[in-house]
Amino acid sequence: MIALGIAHQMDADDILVLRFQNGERAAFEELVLRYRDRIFNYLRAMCGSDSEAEDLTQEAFIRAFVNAKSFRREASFHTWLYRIAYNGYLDGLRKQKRRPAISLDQPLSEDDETKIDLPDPGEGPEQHVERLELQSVLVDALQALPEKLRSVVILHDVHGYRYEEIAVVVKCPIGTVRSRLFHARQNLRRKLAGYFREA
Amino acid sequence: MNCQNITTLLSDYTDGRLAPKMDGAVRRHLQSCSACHSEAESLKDTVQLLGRFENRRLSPGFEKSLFERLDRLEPTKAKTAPASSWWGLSHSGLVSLHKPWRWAATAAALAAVGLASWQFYPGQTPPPAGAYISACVAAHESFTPDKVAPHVGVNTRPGSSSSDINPDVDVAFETTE
Repeated sequence: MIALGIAHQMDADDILVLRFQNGERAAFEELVLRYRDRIFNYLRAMCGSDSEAEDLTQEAFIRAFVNAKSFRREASFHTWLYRIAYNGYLDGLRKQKRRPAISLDQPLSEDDETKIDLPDPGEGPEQHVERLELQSVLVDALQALPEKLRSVVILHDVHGYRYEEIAVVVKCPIGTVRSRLFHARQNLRRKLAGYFREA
Repeated sequence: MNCQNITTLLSDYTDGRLAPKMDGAVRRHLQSCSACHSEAESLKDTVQLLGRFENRRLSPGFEKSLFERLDRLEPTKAKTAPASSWWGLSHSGLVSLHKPWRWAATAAALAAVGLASWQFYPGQTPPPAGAYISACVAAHESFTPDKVAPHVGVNTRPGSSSSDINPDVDVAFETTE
């Protein structure tokens, strides 16, 4: 899970942000390298499309770049960045009709096709197929959730964020985070029941 | 504690967020109720499955593309004239001198001030500093200022500015309303 290592990076992020706020562009580029995969995978889980997630990731970093000087460290940098990414995703939802959820073995475009998983070393063909199928089911199950539930369960159960951090990202009280997480899990439990044996 | 109550607590119980007393009560109920125990186990399995959501890497050209866009966003450092003029003022605050026609306009303005000054020579009081400043400002304002808008689609709430952006304020991405 992604949560491991987040606490360790807190102070290092503050230093990089300060350096960037003082005009050092390379500090911001370092922050990009640290968080690009996390933001991409969060957005990928949110929107169900690798190419759309990549576009949204780039826009999130641009937004952070433009507004970094006004970042006041009232929350951690990565929480602020996730918040920007989430808002960008919401804005994209408002602007365009959502595409239906895709399966990982049915790429929509050449770009998506390049991201098809290759078998892991030591993974047999049957295990590879089962793994891909599970990923497809997870994507579909998440996409079927209402956006408000989906964001919370992704941040908590996929990205390891605490309730307090999630409350900042999605801008709602902690009690609401807990409630949404409860309902999201209840919903997902029914959809994923056929795979519990493999858990 | 009945099963309906237990169900509502299972999510917090799975995350270890219940107070010790409540946690104990739930655990005891689960030990004696097979239906709730089964639901708790399936909830735990759900969380474990979600933890297996695989991460992928971005495409190889992502950073290059992003950094090129950031390059275009960084403000061009204006080429300023020497730090002080004969009035002890800096040009950079008044006139953007990186366009050739602005050099011509500024020169014309200076010439106009110089001509006006000649009328007072000899023995007459030179024009005040404001005349020089006004001439430079007039030359600058006679041209349409460059509009530099970052290609971000950024929009903040009405009445706010970028300096108001912080985690407690909605970071609106683009205008949609």
